[in-house]
Amino acid sequence: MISCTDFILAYNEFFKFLHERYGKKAVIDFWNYLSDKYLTDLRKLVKKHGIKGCWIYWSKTLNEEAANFTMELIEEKNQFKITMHHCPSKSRLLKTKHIEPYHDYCKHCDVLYRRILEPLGFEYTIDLSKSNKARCKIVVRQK
Amino acid sequence: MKKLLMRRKASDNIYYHPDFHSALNIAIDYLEKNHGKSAVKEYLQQFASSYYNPLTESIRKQGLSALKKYLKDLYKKENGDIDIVYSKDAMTVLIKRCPAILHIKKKGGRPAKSFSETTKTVYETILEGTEYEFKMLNYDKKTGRALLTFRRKK
Repeated sequence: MISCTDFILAYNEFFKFLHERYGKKAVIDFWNYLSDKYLTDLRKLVKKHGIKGCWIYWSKTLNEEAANFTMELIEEKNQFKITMHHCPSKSRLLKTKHIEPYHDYCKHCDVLYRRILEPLGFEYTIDLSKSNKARCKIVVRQK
Repeated sequence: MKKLLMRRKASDNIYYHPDFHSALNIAIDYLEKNHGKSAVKEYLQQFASSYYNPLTESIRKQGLSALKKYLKDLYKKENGDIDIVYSKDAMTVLIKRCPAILHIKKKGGRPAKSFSETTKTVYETILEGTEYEFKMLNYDKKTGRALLTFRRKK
């Protein structure tokens, strides 16, 4: 068994393996597949609660992942925001000196969540400009 | 205007997100369906030889005691249930309850056909270049219950 606490390293290596063997498209295809199969809880919650579903979903995952973050929900404005001060996944990759992070590692957060939220009528933006420091920002708004 | 705000530091929580077992299972299943069982093994070999390299080094220097400590810590952290019979030259590990399989099933998933390779291939690879060899004597796909042996090569 691979520990769930080692998953990020396995995940990173998975992207590298797919890319080296089958090219970038294979990585994107996998992200789409993973979004469909893995993010079913997010889809269900947003369908049921609207934008508050984002708050419920990330309240669980970000706490379990021991992230350093600020999360904000303004329901009247249909706006949800995550400011990731220190991403637990990326920081783990940066900290593990004998592992090289996949060059486009953080992009999976763009592909996976966008694929769930846009078809449900939300605009999804992610700022990855500081991802090399394990920082990013996500904003979800009703279209 | 009503606003919900949550601020957390990493130190506020313990890093433990068992849903990652499901994500890995999906990745293994995807790889097998799209690129075959050999791709699963090759991926796990690549991952284990790079990420677990420090563990392999510890086994080279300290023998099976390093692996024993690793396994005890791993299954304790994951709330698994294992029995270890240890000697300097051989170690038998009975995995009575596999936390990964339990979680995958709890979430309504089905373990990938090649999921057992996350044990078999990973430990075979970890022991490569050491004085020890690994065998998975049995494995129950439904529960992940398994009997593993690690012994000094003859």
